Amino acid sequence: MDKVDIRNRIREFRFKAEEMTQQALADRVGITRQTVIALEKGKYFPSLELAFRIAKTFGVPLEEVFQVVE
Amino acid sequence: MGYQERNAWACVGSILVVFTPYFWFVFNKPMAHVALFPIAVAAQVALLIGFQIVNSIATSSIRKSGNVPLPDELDRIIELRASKLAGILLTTAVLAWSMAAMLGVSAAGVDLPVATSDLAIGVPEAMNWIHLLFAGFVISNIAYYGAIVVGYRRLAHG
Repeated sequence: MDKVDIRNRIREFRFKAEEMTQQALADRVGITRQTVIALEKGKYFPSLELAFRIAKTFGVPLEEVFQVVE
Repeated sequence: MGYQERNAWACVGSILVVFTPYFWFVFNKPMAHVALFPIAVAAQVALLIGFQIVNSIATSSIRKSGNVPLPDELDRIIELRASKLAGILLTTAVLAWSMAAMLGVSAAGVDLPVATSDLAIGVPEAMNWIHLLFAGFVISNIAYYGAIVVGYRRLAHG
């Protein structure tokens, strides 16, 4: 099975949310700042639960934050 | 560098600082007093407690919130991978040691308190074998914390 390439727009949504800091996002979703950095760099793909929490924090549907690149 | 990664660095460092001289000593003097072991363990615990205090003071998020960050899902994945590696290493070391001991004892036999024949091993040599087994445990611990450090470094630098 081919590896699925998942991109995210966390950085973009952080800036739209009044330039929310990485630490602020980390605190709101219950992860460390290091994990936010790894997510933004695309080096770590979150669990479904965390992905939903991030999307909920920005007030947008999951698929707006995380997208599969064909 | 995050709180968890710094902790892993401290564990690797404290193990090396305490157990390098420990093993150097016990392998040179296998009959060293048994009290050396609890002293080494106490020294490592003291070093780690000291580091935890420094690490907490140095971590800005703890200074702001007053709380030590709990491991999140990424931390747990890194720890899980490190545990797997350390487990494989420890199992291999114990199996290799057991095989060597079984073959060695059945082939050579054990004699007390010192070797009286060419084949039998004396107590000092038997103690060396015990230290070797403990060294396998310490090395697997270094591998565990080392793998955690590598896990975080990969995230930071690709």
